[in-house]
Amino acid sequence: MQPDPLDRLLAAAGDRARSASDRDATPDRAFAADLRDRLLSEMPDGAHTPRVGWSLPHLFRMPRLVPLAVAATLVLAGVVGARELYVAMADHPTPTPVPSVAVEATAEPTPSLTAEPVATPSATAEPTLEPTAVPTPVPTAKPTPKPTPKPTPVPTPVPLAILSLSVTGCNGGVVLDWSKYDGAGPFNHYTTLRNTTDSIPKAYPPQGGAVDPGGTYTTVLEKTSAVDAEAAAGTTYYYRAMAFNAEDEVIAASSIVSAMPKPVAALGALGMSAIADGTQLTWTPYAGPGACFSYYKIAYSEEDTTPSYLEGDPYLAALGEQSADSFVSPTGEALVSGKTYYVRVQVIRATDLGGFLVAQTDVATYTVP
Amino acid sequence: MDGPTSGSRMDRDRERTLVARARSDAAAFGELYDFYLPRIYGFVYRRVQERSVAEDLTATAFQRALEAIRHRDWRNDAFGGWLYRVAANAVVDHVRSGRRVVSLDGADGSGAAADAFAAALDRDELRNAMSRLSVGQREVLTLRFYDDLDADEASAVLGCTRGTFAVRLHRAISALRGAMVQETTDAA
Repeated sequence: MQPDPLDRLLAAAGDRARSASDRDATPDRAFAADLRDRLLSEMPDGAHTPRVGWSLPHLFRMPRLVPLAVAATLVLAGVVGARELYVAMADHPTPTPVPSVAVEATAEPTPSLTAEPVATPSATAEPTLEPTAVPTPVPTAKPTPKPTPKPTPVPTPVPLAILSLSVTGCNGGVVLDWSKYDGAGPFNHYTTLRNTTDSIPKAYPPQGGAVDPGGTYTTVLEKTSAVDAEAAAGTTYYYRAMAFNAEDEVIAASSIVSAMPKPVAALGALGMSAIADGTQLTWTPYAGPGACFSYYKIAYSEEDTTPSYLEGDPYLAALGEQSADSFVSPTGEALVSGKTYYVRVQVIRATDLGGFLVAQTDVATYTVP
Repeated sequence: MDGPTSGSRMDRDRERTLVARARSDAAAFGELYDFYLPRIYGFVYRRVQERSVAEDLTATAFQRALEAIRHRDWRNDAFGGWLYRVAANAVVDHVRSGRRVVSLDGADGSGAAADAFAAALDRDELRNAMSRLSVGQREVLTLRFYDDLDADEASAVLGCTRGTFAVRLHRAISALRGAMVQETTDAA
């Protein structure tokens, strides 16, 4: 198939535009390296790629063993998947028998990650068979010469912070609004759980019949609203919002509150008529609570007989006034003369974590004169 | 470091393997980071036009990526598209945080990118035709031709299915073609 000439024009323009902004749109090397280091340092200790190597003082103390040691190091590096071989200018932080083979985490060397005496000269021939040489984040029982770099979690239980949760049963779903976490714990994410009874333990995974309805998980502290669009109309549901740390431990929780969603509301027929230079659309405004209204979207399509904003169809307009009951679409802007369109007005309730359909008109089929 | 070169895509199987390993393997996450950093940064920069802001938002996107990968519920196997989506959301949050009244259209930072793209069009009637399109149509064209995203990535940014994106792209190009005809007619 021949490429569309218009496609080629657009692709060429895209190339030109990217080239023009290449210098500014390329990340600074220092920024890239800093961010990389910071992110990788947050990986679990066991996730670090081990380095394998020798310290110079060790080598000088046992020069005759250098060839053997180098060979053993290469074998060990292959077994543990080390990406870096190193020669240190000083002894490894942990005093070990001479000569020692040290395996340490790339980013956070800790004494506990030192391989156990793989260590004596006779043992260096096959150090690779020693599985304990692989770094592990689990603290060893052996005393270490200095404290680990990261403090261990405080063992005393911290009182849970309180989240305030309000829920609104709307047409089409339940809107969940909770207060921003402002406790002292290390926030990682929010999740709200649901049950059909008023029992929702403060725990994750959900217990006691509670479920995670999905769509409420976010790691963004400021995102504090979501929708449960899967809730069945006419059923009373109970909810509890919670904040968690990175270990999925609850650090804040709301009380349990309930709501009952209603079916998606029908707004009736959508009127469409030609006026000078355009098409006028008229409908009955949504009469439900303002808490369930964010905006009207007037979705349209030439092919889709049931156009829907939430399913990606284009829209003629977005109107933020709940009392709006009409709109004029200028001819040629979206609706083109001589073409037939399927159009409907939809009421959408948007939240921080997605929107849902609240109400809609019937689909109007309209040919633009 | 690679620039956002046209046509460079990470092999899907390779990407899935890296994502699966990245939960416990820093090197795997590092490889994903090295591949996507210039792309995500460029995507963000083209929308915010400010280096320090682009760095902040890019860092936010990758921070969220790391958290998501480590979270037990991670199930999305289209990591690249998801990452663009996170970056787009970060841009939206940023743009909206600076406004007292949220506009429903153009509040996603896509305007700057669409404008830059339109400015690179080397034919007047094409540039003028672009300005006749809806915000949504310009956005689709910008994602595809300026940001050079594939269907999976662009559909993730828009929060629609791959099929829907294909339809929207087709319609946008058709609308552009129609607008060019109109431009030519108007000029005659």
